Amino acid sequence: MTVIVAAEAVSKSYSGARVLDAVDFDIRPGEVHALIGENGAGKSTLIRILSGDTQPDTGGMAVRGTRARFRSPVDARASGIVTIFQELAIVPEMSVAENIVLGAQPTIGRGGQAFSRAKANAIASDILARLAGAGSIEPGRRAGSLSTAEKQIVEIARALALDAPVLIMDEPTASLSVREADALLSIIRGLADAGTAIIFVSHRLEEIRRIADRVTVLRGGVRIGTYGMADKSTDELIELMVGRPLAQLFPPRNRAIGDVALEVRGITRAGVFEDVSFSVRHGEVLGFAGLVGAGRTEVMRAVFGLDPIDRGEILLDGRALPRRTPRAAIRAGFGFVPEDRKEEGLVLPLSARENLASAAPDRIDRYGIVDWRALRRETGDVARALGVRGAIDSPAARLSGGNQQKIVIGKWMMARSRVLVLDEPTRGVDVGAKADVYRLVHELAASGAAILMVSSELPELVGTAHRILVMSGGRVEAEFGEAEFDEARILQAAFRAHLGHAAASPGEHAEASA
Amino acid sequence: MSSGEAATERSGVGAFYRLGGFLQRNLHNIGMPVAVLLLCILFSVASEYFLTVQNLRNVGLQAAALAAVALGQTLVVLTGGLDLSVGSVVALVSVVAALAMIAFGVPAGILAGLAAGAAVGVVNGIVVTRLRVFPFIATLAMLSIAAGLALNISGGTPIAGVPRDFALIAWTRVGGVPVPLLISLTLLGLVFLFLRYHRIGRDIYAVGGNPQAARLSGIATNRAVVTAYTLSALCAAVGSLILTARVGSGQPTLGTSLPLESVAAVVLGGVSLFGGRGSVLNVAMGVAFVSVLSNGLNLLNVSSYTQMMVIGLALILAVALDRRFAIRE
Amino acid sequence: MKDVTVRRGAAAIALSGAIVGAASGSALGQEAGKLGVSMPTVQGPFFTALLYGIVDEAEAQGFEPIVLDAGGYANVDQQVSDMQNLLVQDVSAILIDPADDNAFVGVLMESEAQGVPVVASGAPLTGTNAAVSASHCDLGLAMAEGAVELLPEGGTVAALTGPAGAFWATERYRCFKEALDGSGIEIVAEQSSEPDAAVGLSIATDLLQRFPDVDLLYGADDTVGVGAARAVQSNDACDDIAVLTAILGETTEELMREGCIDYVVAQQTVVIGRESVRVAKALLDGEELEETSIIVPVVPVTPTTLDEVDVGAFRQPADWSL
Repeated sequence: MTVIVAAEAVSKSYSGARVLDAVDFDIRPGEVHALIGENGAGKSTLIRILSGDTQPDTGGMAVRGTRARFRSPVDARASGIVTIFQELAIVPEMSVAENIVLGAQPTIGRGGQAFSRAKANAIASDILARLAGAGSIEPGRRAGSLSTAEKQIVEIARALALDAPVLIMDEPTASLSVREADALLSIIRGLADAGTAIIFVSHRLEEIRRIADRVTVLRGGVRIGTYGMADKSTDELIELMVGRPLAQLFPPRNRAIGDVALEVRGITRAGVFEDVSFSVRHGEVLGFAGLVGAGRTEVMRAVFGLDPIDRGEILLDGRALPRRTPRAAIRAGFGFVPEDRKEEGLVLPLSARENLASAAPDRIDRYGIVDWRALRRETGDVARALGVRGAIDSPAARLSGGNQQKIVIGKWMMARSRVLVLDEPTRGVDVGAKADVYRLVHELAASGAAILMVSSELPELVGTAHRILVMSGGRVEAEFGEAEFDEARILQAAFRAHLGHAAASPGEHAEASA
Repeated sequence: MSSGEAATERSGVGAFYRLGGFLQRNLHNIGMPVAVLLLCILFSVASEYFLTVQNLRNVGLQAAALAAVALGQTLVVLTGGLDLSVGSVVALVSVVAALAMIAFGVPAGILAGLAAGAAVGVVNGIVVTRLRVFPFIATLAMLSIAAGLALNISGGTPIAGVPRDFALIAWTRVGGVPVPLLISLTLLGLVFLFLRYHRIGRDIYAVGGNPQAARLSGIATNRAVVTAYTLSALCAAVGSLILTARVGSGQPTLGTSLPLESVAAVVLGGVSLFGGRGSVLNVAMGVAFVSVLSNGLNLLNVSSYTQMMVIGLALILAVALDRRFAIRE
Repeated sequence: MKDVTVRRGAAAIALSGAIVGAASGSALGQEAGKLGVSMPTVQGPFFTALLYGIVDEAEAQGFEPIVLDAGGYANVDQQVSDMQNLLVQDVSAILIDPADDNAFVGVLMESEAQGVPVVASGAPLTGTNAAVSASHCDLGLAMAEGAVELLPEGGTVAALTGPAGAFWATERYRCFKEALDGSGIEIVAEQSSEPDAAVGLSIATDLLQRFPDVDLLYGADDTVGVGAARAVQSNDACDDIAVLTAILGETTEELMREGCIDYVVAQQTVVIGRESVRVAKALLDGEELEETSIIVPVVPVTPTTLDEVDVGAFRQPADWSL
């Protein structure tokens, strides 16, 4: 197999800090080459160089053995390299089809000036049909109305429309549910088998194990090595990434379980979730499994007072909240770590310190006047407990994803929340930070907090929760105690509502029963 | 020996990089003071009258009202909003204060003016938060409403007969410094302390930085926004009292250039128009820049039309730089 | 007519004098020092004519004129700042056309403290050393006479009164109104605005919409006056609706020749400008003024007398600009 694109000893520095140090990397037709490493290891920089978004300080690129210089993403595209970044580039006001053909619009008529909607729709339908599981996306739909998962699929479809020989995917499954990720991985493997070279970045090692042929590990801007996938175990890869022997990823569960902290009785929001009941005790971690769209996030938002409910009761330590607003919930002892930390969790221009203090004003001010010394002392304590690396006095925007997530969790430690909702707490954070998050969850539980944890990564629920509720189609479908945890049974429950529906497609049937 | 040299060189390079990094991080903090300094040097060379005690006093006096208005504007811009109504708040307060002063005395006039300003601000805040009207539109509408109100109350003519004691405030100096400038410097201190030490001041930063996250942290976002608009109008009222004393009469058309100039000063001061980022001390520099620019151009007898163009260009430049920093972060 | 040509010739000489003056500017400037001129605006025929008179005479007298413009009647505080900026520049004397009568008390104290004489030029101002202006009340009275001449049988008037709060506009209109009391002429509408022809046009258009049968439009000066005439012209009503205004600018003259402006009370604006400079010079020379409030008489002009009047007293030569 010949190499299509190669980076040769590329180095890159920002403001004097070397982020990439003489890294070699290559990709061959028909292979999935995984790129892994902790945040800050240099993955993003390498990808930006490969996609022409930035230029290396030293070292060069070669395309099919010929020296190449990518001055811009346009150059890279011309060489057949298409990149799908995590920040999706979807034009919300355009149709799905227009988005898919964006940049290569089919035209009609003399001189090819007029955009042909019919051709665009035909191309889009054709590509979407090739993406199994994307059948529900109508080419004529407004792209803005799509879910995150669907938008991701549209981005991939766009790359396919260009027939690019090299595809770079930066954490494509990060915001997809298990089933959607599953479908996408099959698509990616299929593309590779058909000859496309794919560079695949993911934090999910199980995915990489499934589809990658080779894997390159980066750490601190240096290439640690490139290995055949079969030659390294997952644990070995993690050790290579973090650079130290792997400690226990999941700490032992807290055994000091107290009284019922939160009791939710039969809450319903028409069309979103129905008759949801559960309770969680002090010191307990209650996991919520299910597909994206099963209503888990919506239930959490309702419990927190963000969304209205039509029926039902929410009792905290046996009492109903005076008002159903986030403010009242926080005063009563709730905390909420939202799914999207940049959009909802952090005030990015403010310092990490102030973000930590933002939910606990009463601890740091007297009569409305901020006591900066108390703020520094208390946030310093929390930051140490969190194990945040990096300057907590600079804007939160400058911290890595993992440290940002720790700050969002730390905010509720500052506020001394007694019931904490964590929605996808490890999404987009690296392995090292993941272990920190699990440790924090354990410590919070051990200190008597009740934890509600929504996650699309079953292993982490299985590894941290005392009980797991499975939601499907807006209802609680099943509950598993620690002794009964079984990924296959949990998945089956997650798909149950879809099986029950008359409208469920045969494809879903087959997939779920398989 | 050679290793020693290498070490020296390395530390030299390191210092260079550290300096570069410092400049990169702090350009928006030191950019404005440097620009003001350069401007002063330029005008000192170009005009023999610029660097005289009397002229610098004039600059301070002329900057005082703009400073007061810009301080308030800062609060609103930090929430991610915009207060265009300050222009006619100044006019309204001038008319109300003059009338009240003539009827009930100077203290009553000052209180009435401040109350009128605060009332406009509260309405702005409620319209923006409760009625969810975009700040730009809400305050543009209020600009028109308050201007009409000022003209109606005054019958369209200036109100003469403001007590001489009040007018003299603008022309009195304490230790050589004009009183209006002292008032604005005090206001600067108060706004600085409010933003840094008051809970609502911190909330204003959080709401402007990310309203969603602020709300999910239990911050009373509406309270922060309404407070920002109220204080903005209150600061504009202080600016208006300064101007009213200066012109010795209630003027229903006072302050027409202030919406633009205050936004210019705030943006030149590095406050992000997206909200959540910026310091009131830099805004003071922005005010100094606008005032020195205007004064210097006056001394060089550049026509007021050309001056309008220069201020507009400076504004575009400042916003362009703001965008660059925003993108880099 | 002959007189006009002579004055135009004189202007041309003055202009070349200015060019020579620029070359040896400092020598000329040193003779009598700098003359500060503070105007609320420099837009419109009145200010152009006034500034022509001031600048032309100042240069003839050996002054170096420095003209500052506050950018509009609304910017009273800017004009106060302009006064301060002039004082800083060591001017020998200041000419000011005040945007407002009350606003300059403080800054006049400063000028007095510095011993810089201030002459109000164009409109009187309390606290100045002298004032040269047309009597705006006289102007209003003359306009009222014009209204009676145009509407001997009585009728209705809509008034564009000029900038709210400007002394000249208020005073002019007040005397106009008082003089019409009991004359059978009724004012049906009045509207103030910035002195701007475009603004005047749109206000007049609206007034004509509301009062289509109005007999006469009053335009406080020839900015809003020209606006009013244009509105009448675009309604094709030059024969039916009379337009009465003040100040004889070029456009005013044109519109009068076209029959759309029927009566103009002309101020001898250029004379006012020249006279203010002479008064300032006299003050600097320590001469005792016989009269500190100098009134320059107004001249009524109708289409029939248009060709007989001395235009050079009213406005600047066609090729002059600041």
